[in-house]
Amino acid sequence: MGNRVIDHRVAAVLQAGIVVAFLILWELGGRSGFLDPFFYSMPSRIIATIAYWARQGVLAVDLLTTVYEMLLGFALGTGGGIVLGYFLATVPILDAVFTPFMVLFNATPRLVLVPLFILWFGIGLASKVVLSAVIVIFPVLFATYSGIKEVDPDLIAKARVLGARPVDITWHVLIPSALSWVFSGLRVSVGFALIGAVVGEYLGANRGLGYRIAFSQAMFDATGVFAGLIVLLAVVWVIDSLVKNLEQRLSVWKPASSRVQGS
Amino acid sequence: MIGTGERLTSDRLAIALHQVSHRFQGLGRTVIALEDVTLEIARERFVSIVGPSGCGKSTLLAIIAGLLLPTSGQVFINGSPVTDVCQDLGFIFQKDALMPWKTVYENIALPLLFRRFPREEIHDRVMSWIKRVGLTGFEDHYPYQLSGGMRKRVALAQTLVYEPSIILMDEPFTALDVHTRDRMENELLHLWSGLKSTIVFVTHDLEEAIALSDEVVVFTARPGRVKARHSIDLPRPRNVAEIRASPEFLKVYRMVWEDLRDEVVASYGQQGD
Repeated sequence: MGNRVIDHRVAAVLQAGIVVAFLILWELGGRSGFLDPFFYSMPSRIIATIAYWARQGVLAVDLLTTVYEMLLGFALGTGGGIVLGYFLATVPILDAVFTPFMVLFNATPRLVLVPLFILWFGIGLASKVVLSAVIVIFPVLFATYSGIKEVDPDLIAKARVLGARPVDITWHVLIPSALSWVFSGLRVSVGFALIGAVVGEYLGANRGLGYRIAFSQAMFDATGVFAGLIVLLAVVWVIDSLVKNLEQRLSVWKPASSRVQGS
Repeated sequence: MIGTGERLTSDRLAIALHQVSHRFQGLGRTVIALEDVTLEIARERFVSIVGPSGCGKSTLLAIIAGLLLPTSGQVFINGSPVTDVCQDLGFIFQKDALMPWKTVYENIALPLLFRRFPREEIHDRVMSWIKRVGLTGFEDHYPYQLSGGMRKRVALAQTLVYEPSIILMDEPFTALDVHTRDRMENELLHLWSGLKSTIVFVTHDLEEAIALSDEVVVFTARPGRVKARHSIDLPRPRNVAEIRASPEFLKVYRMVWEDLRDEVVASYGQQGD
């Protein structure tokens, strides 16, 4: 956390300036021949390609496919992570037996599973959703697990004295505590879900932004690759803003200093 | 003034402890927190327990509340043996222990929710207590948005809202600044005067104990045992700030301090062991 207060409007103007300057230099570099457009393309060509995709209708299909896969993977991974984390944290025998496996799985790079997922679930939607969910599930599982394990014992004692039955303690103490941990990792999880969807498409699909990038690459079309990346960046930016907004709503009960900051 | 021999019939007793001992097992050695504590507390009395740090006062409250089962001995609440957390009992913790994700209203409603009260009655009771503890307008605030004193008031309302016959308080005002503390103590006495509750108030501050209580029980340094009991016959209603300056208060203070001083000195010898 900085010691000086930075005016966010100043930062925004500087950010916009840097982006514009970068694009101008890129364009000039391409037109003057300093940067070979075959390898590095140019902003004007990239914009033209995105416009062409939009006219052809493939942009909408790719966008919706990727976002749909991401949302399904996110929902599945988050739901599964919360349920598994809850049971690992509250049932001692499950904790003792399975938590070491979870730690092991979490340390395994899951992208190497993509060939298997494509083999098992095909090149359609399912393999991307599964990959996405498998990437999301572990951080959510561990957040839930920690949220329940780290809950202030005084809060549980207090709830018991106030007359809580075990189900009340789960509902009013354990789950809110776990969710607060899950929510604070929400932006990371959503990012993971998108990585799962896009990488899955990149390695084997017939639509989606990851597929569009892979297809352009196969055609030696640098402009297409850049256009795909720019659309992906825009998706990330929009989704991250939405999630940031949601996260702030969900953490109204936290002091401002402990909320997740950043842009 | 020392009322140790007074026998009470059991239906007049809110709390009865018979030869209660408690040992904690830790890292290859046993710590005796409480040893052979026998104590009877009559209904509707305000009783303070004072003793040096680490004398097992908090352990004693946890045992009375049924949060902890003693290693040996018996505990009775309103004549029934304690086997689990007692439903007719309130516990104000040293930390206010409010649910940070619930608003003032939701925190105070919690014990009524646990008791499956109808929604209407929950609303009426909670709003009435929010008013009585002076938190009107703060219903929708979260604990982090409140001062220490206000959080204590929420904790008080959260306990009083279900009208327990016994309220245990574990150094509830220790973390507050002096002025807020005086104010909260007076408010507690005022609220208590309108109730029929028995209060067991644990503190290491002898002045606070005397100013609030009908009776002060002095505990020994670890292992905790009852060393002496003193009736406090100062008139009520009391103002805790004013009563501290009265000659009667000083007389009582000196007498109880005679008992407490040796235990405080003894507890210094235990520190670090």
